[in-house]
Amino acid sequence: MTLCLYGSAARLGRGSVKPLISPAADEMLLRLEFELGDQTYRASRRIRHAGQTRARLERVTSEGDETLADGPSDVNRRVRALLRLDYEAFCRTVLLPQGEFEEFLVGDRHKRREIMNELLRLERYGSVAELARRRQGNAKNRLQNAEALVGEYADATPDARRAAEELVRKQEARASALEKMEREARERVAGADAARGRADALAHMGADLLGHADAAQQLAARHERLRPDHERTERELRDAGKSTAAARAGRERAEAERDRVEREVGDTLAHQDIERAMREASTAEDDIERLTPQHAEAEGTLSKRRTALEEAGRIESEASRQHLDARTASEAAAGAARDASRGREQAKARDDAQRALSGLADQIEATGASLDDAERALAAAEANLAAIGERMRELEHRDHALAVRFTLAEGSGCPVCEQTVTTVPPMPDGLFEARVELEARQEAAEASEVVRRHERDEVQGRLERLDGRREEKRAQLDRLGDAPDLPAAAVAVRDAKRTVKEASGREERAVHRLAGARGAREQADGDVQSAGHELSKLADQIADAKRRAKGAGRVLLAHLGDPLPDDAETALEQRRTLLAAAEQAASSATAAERDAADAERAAREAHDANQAKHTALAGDLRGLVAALRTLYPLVCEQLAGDGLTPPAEPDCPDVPWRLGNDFVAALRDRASVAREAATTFADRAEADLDEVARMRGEVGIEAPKGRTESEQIADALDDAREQRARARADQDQLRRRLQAREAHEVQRVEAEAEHAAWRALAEPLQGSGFIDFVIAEVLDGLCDIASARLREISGDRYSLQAEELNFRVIDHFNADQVRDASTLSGGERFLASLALALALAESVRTAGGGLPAELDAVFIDEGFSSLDAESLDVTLSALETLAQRELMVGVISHVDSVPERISDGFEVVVEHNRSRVRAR
Amino acid sequence: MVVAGDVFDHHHPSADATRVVYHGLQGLAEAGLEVLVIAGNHDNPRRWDAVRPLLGAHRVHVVPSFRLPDEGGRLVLRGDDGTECEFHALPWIPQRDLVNGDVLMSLLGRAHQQYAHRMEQLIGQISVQPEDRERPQVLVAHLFYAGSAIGGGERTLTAGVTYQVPTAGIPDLLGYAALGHLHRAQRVPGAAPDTYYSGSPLQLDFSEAGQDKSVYLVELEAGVRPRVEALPLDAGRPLLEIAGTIDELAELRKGAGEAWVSVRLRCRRAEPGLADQVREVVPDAVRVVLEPQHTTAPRQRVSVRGLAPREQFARYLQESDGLEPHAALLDRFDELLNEVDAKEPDGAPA
Repeated sequence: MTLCLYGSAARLGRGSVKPLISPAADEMLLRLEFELGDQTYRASRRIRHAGQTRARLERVTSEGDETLADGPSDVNRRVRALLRLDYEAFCRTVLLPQGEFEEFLVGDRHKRREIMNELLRLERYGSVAELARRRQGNAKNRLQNAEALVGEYADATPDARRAAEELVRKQEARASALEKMEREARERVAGADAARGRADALAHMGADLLGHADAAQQLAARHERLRPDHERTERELRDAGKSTAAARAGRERAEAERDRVEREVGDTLAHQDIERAMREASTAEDDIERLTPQHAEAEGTLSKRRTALEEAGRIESEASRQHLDARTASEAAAGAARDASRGREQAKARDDAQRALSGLADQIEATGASLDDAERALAAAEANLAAIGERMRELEHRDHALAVRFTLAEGSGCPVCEQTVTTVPPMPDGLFEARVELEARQEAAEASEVVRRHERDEVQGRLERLDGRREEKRAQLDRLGDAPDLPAAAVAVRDAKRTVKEASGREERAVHRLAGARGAREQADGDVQSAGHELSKLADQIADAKRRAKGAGRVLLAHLGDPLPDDAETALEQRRTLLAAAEQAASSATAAERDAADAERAAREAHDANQAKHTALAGDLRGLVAALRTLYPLVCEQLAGDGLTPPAEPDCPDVPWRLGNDFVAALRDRASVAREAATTFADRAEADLDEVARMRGEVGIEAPKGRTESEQIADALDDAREQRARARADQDQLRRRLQAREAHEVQRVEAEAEHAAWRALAEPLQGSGFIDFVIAEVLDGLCDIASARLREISGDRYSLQAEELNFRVIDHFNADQVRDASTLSGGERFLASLALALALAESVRTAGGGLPAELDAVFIDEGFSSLDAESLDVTLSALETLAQRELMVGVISHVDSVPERISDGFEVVVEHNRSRVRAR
Repeated sequence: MVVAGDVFDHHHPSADATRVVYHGLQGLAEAGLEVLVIAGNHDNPRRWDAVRPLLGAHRVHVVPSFRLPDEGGRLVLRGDDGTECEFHALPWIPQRDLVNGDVLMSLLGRAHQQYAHRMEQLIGQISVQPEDRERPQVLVAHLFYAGSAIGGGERTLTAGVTYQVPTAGIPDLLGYAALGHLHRAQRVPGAAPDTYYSGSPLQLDFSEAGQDKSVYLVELEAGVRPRVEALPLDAGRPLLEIAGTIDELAELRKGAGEAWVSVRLRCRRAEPGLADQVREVVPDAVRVVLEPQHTTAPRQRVSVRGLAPREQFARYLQESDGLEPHAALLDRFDELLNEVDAKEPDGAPA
């Protein structure tokens, strides 16, 4: 059962399970069906001598079987999860293996502690303690951080804040006082500047008026000087005009004569043109006759050459098509060559694979032999280990007996048989040494067994790998099965190469042919073009000759009807002489006229200059008058604005002749009034500036170079403002720091509380106090249950008690005498262990958080042979009682009386080389 | 002589016990009695069956296991005066022989009902087939009738709900029912006809101390109610229970005679060697059970086993500090435990 579920069996300890396979068989098959809750499961396992163990866990339903796990480790894990028991726990609670379940009662107390730890999962509390310590550490860190943060803001106190507020108030008072002063100083300075500006303006105006008076005086003087020149220039201009008119008339007469002579000459010239045109026409007709046959011949040549060109083109395209065919054939041959060579490679690969396969077969054989050796060595080591184990157990039994002997004293009662001891048997020698030696041998044997096991596993692995490779090679061979023979493939390659060479030769020849045809075609093309040129050149010449003939004909037509003179040349000479004389006369008349015009122009210029001076003078006067007219209102305005009475505007004449001394005197008078007003304004400005200087003195700051009084006051104000701003900023920052400090303080308090809380948890969990407490309490509880059971099955005689991980038995039939559990007889020990195992099974159900899996079965493997008939009877009755309490009890025994009491079951029949199971 | 089962105490009796029984049976047969023995729940039916032919040759008739009437379940025995009497034998039948396996595996109540029901049917069947109605009919059975008084030494299982048979099942036809199984001699109340347990010939358990042991002498006649007389037995050592302090024991012991004694010792508390002291005064003390005077009330142990880890921890803190722990502290404990559990790999043993 355990072999099927967990892959382990009690008989084998930690060893391999393969020895359980029948020697003659290759493998063993196990299958277990069990019910859990309302589900049915099936676990199956196949264990082979050579090869991997296979295992499977299925859920059996009416619709079919559902696989839950596959493979040994997967199945083991799943079984553990399903039953909530690992192999060890299973063997303490469900299946009680031969000789082992008494261990819990009388065995080593440290082992008991381990078992309790496992069953109750107490190592969790160790993890919890660790976590609590860590949390405590973290909380401590946080606390320290919070304290440090609070320290950073130590300076932010309420007193500091009050001091900062006081400072801000003082600075504000000082700044506002200075602002008031600065404003006043600025106003005074502005007022002083305005007054000074007025004063300057008025002074300028006075100067302007004086200037204008001087200018008026000068204008009058100039006017006097200009008058006589003006009359003279008018007279001269009139005379010059008369001369110019006379010269013009003479010129016109001379030009009329000259024109008449010119006309006569023109007539003569026209006759020469006609003769020239007749000569031209006859030349052109000769040319045309000569050129026309040449033109026809050139046309014939051109058409012959065109025919030759067509022929050359056809040859060229034929050669091109042949070339294309040759190239296609060449490519096909290359492709065939590639296929042939691939075929050859495949043939080679197949031969290689076959060789490799036969090599592997040899290796596998050799490795199989090594594996057998390794298995034998392992079996020997295991046997040795088992023998030593046996010896150890013997020793332990003996030790136990000797332990009892220690407690004996002459005359006291033996705790085991309750008889009085007469003599205490002596202790044999050499026990301790024997034990030590045996332990050493056991260690060595264990080590050797491990080594052998490793060796065996290694060889096995190697064998499996070789198997795998062989499979690979076989698969490869399959794939290459239809590759051709190597020789056939080589022949194919050779043929293909030959074909390629032929095809490429043909292709070359075709290329040559194509090039030749192309050259011939181009030559024919050139010939055609040159013939064309010749033809067009001749055509042009013929056209030109025709044009010349037409031109000459036109000239002749124009002169049709004119009489031809007798002697055209002489008449022409005469008339040309007359023409020259007439031209001479015309040109001298023209010169005279030009001189007269020049004289007139000079006289006009003089007259205009004089007139301009006059006009300028009049303009100056008008300008002066306009300026005065503009200036006067301004002056009046200025004076009126300051409360001074403006003087009246003087009379101003339009024409310079009328400027008089009164006018000038009036101007000078007005100028002095303006100057007086200017002085008043300047005094006022001075007074303001003195006041400002006094205020600066009040402020009491030292005057740096280059700064005015009011600028200095402004500087003082800036400084005061700056200090005020700084005081305010300081106050703000202090307020913020105070807030931050309070917040950090809150955090520190929290961190402190957190740390204390985690410490309160971590301290009690330190060490094993809590775990010991739980174990002790659980053991007490366990003993309660076990005692109840034990009382039931021992007829109320015995009950169990736990004391520091050891069990004691209370004998109620002997005045509640307390004995160590190891002093019980075989039968009594069986009953006590059984009671304890059942109590454990019940505890597994409910301890450590509850277990959903209900345990309905208990299997007891042997143990009955140590019971006498009376105890056996009691025990079997006890088991019958158990069977009535919702438990299925399975018993494995070779003692005859057991199956006589229990009729349901199986019988194992031992034959020569195997055992068989049949139902009873 | 009808022996209604439980001749031996268990399945593999020792050679001495076997000698006592066989010599006893031989003595009875030599005294001229026909002896009828059926197997009880303590007997080993196969051993009885093995020796049955040999005993049968000496007028000891053994019915080791249930037989149909025609196959040996009904015996006709003749007395000295020639009268014949029919005996219907019903040896002990274990539960699994009457109850189907699947019923056994299901609710136990059904198993009990089925056993009782089938036993009734069996009794009804075997006893309505008399060979000759003129003869007195006797049922000899080894079973547990509901309502009978337990002596105290019986195996609890066999004298409980599992095996009880209702009394209404005995048919009128029978004249007398001779039952074995219970140690106390008694007539079964509410059963007709006369149904008697003869009880054990000896006091077998201290709960039977003081019980009178007897054997029933029954006169039977067909059609007439039997006359039943109880003959007292006083062989063997009686059982006696005494209780007192160690000083009172000497006085109490007087008058015990040969009796095996069970001592209930009143003392202050248990001490080693107390039993030996008692045995000095009362050498025949088979057992010495203490009755401490000042019993401290057993520590009310709320088993920590059933508590959740949080409560376990709370108890631990209470025990070590004496103070009740804060809920906040326990909450933190729970929080950390959940974190640890969340990391558990699959399949950790519970």
